[in-house]
Amino acid sequence: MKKRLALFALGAAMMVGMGTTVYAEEEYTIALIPQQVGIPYFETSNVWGTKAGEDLGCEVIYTGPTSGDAAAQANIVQDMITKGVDCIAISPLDASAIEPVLKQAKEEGIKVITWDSDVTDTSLREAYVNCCSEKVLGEHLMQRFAEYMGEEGEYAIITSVLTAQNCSAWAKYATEYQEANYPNMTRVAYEPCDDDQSKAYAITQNLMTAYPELKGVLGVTTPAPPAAAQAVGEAGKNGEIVVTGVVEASAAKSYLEDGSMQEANIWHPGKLGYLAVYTAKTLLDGGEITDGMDVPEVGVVEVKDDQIIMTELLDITTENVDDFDF
Amino acid sequence: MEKLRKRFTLHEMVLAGAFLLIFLIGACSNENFLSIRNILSLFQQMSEMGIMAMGLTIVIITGGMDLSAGTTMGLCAVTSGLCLTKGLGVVPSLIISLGVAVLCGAMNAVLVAIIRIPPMIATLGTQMFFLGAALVLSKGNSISGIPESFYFLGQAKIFGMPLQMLLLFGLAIFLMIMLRNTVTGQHIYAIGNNMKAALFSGIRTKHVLFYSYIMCSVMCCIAGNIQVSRVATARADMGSAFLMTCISAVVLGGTSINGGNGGIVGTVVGIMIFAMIGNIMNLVGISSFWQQLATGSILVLVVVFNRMIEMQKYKVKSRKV
Amino acid sequence: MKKILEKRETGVFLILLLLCFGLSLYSPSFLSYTNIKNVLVNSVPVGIMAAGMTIVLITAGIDVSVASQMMFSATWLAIFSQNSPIANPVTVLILALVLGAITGAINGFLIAAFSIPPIIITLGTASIYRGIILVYTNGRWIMNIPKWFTALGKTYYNIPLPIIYAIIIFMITAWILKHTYFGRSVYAVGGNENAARYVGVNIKKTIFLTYFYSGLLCGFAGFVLDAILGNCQPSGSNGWEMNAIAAAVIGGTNILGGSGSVIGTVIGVAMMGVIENGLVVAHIPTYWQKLVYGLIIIATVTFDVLRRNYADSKKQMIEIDQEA
Repeated sequence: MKKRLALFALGAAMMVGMGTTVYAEEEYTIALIPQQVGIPYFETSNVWGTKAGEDLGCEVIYTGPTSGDAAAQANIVQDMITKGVDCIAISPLDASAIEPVLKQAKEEGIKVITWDSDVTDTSLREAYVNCCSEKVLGEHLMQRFAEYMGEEGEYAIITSVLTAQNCSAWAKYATEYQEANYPNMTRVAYEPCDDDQSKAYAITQNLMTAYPELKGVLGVTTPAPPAAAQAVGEAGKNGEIVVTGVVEASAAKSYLEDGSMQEANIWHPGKLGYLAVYTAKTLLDGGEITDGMDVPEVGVVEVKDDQIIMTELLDITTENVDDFDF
Repeated sequence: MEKLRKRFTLHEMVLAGAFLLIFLIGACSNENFLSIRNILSLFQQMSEMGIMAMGLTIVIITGGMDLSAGTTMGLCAVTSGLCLTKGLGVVPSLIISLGVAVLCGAMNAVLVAIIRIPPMIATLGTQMFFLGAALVLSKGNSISGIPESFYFLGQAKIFGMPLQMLLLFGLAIFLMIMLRNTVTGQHIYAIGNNMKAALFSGIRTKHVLFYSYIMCSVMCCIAGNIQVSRVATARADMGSAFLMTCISAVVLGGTSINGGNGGIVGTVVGIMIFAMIGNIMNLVGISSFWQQLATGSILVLVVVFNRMIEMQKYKVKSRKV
Repeated sequence: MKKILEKRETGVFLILLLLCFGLSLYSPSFLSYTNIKNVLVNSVPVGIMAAGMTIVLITAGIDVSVASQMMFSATWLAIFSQNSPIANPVTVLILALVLGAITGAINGFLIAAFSIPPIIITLGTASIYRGIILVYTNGRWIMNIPKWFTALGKTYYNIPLPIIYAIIIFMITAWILKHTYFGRSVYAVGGNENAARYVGVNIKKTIFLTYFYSGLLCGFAGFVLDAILGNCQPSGSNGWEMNAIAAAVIGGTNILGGSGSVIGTVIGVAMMGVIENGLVVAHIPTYWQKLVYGLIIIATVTFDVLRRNYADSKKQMIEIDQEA
């Protein structure tokens, strides 16, 4: 089976190379490439994306870099082109670093879609499966955070690494929104935790020392809010220091319950993965996703130009934390 | 067999065996592996790492170490990225980033050769320092908007072959000749063998160490610029992920970590082995986590296997005597 | 007085004091109990690894797999504590030591039996240990380690347990180095391997035991890490091996072997912790932190090396004087 598939892929690649578009009867191969494997967020996308593959009858290959290395991701895309997949669904680590290889993929006749985050040159991909724009999320994060803060006081933002684009963008929009709307709040620190939980924990402790008036910590990367909540809880400052941010329900649960974290703001990463595979398959079949379409397992989606938007943002608190499986 | 044994050292044969084995595994497991396109893209992917590893080889032959190689690459990448986006031409940008590389290398060399801090520790400090400098320069952002005139370095093809692949081989040949046939090359080996003896035999050890560390940084700079051009972006974290793989490749290639012997060919073969493993796993669709496991296992297996044969040989010899 | 000044640790200790003094001027909360406690507790896992690293470095070896060994232990412990019916503080501790013993013994065996440079073997095994846990967990974190486990990392009556663990480990290590045959062989092997062989030290055994002991401590560090954090991130603690090495070297251990002390390493660990804490407490702008961190390390090591070279040259002059 595997051999036949591989042979077929080779054949397909050759045919595509000759410039004839041949749609196969056999199942499609879709490469689902996350920014980094091994992060709970993307692993959830993997589970749901693979499920979508089974539901829709196509093979989903989930593979990505083990560290946040943009060049490694480009290598993987290149290998996927060689492998001869039909569609590459990618969440780019770096909006522009990935472009040269995506250009290559496009030239080979491979369909390219982006999910989770986008590329700068939008002509390189056919669709962008979007949770919500960086701006919307950044502002939403700040709105929820500010509400718990009572719209005043000093706060800090913990990001992943200083070179992570999406986290930096969320932090930037959140800060800009605060500056425009909550004049009584001040951002006193912006610290990277290198996506390491123990470092995020130590940084939160350091922040509490450095800024005794600190009233809130906003984590824009998944390891940060739980680690911050733990540090706050251990300092006995539950509720005095607000902790919210981007984090999965499973990681947030115990901290929400003990009161050290107030809220987790995220979309459903699994549904996003499902939608990405669904979109890929639909496009490969020559179909189209339309505005207001009810996608199975995912729900109604909004379509704006070539962006397929899964608008649903989840605000996870103690009340609904058990409703989520990620 | 006897002839072979005379021509090549034991380690070279073990290494060649490992290389062939992995190559065969690749060829059997996926039809695409042997396609010309895949092999060319394999070279394209490995050339940055290969060039950095060659630079490291020189430093390691002197008995030194450069843990700052990865972040030097990032710093040079950010420097040329900034120059390019600020509207400086390709040549001035390259020159400035080479200048930064020379400074980085010189800083390492001052710490190692003049202040005489053990290289491992000195470069651990500069590793953070260079990363910090790259972060300060780039504000952590990835620098995009690299002009297309710069794409030639990492994206151009000459006679169907990627430019950086030719660059890799060109540099490899240059460094091989430098190490084997020039006085400086001989001095590099001499220092690695015995620093004191080298000093007493009139070698200007400090000069040679400066030369080695600067050479290493320049290699990192070339690798960084290739990557900037290949992905059309410059980031401060470029190359950081390379360091351990590169050191492993140098060691796998038979360069003694204590200095004094080794060479460029082994390093290139070592990098090829690691690059092939990654490539095969991607083609077959094995989780990238296995790559780490495989890389480590191969390093340990080859080194231990090599050593076992050596010990066996030694025993046989001593019995004959 | 002169003796204290000549001690290797003194210089770094003075720098540490200076740093603390400067920071306390800058921010009064730096010297608060909570802050000092946090700095120390967060340094414990690295500190425990650094204790083992000290012995390894004294034999002129190096172990770049310590962070991987620690995470190897931490990951299995987290899984075990959640899923096994026999999991309790005692079995978890035993498992931690067993896991550390296994990884350490593998390192020690490969290095001693084949006389391969330790950096090569540990570079390889570092990827192997890390690879195994990443493949097994698929990189997923292990959340919600049981309460009885995290209770072992908490503070009682203002005394944080992790610091007690660290003190015990440091004391045991110092005792081993000073008062056991193994400890003296460690110095002998690192000082001059041939001489050590002639006086009858079993080199292979000593080297094996060194890595074995380092592994044991890493296993224990994994236990402490889990207890402090309450979650386990198999891909985490990347690069901590370099922190452990830097801590030992800053504390005066000679990376070329032959000399070093546990008390120095303790100072080195504290120094690293204070720098990391100080960067935030002193409100150093985010992008500048790594740069400043690197500079401080370079400056500290440079100072130490220069001071040592000066002391050595003086000693030589005295010797020459005496001979003359």
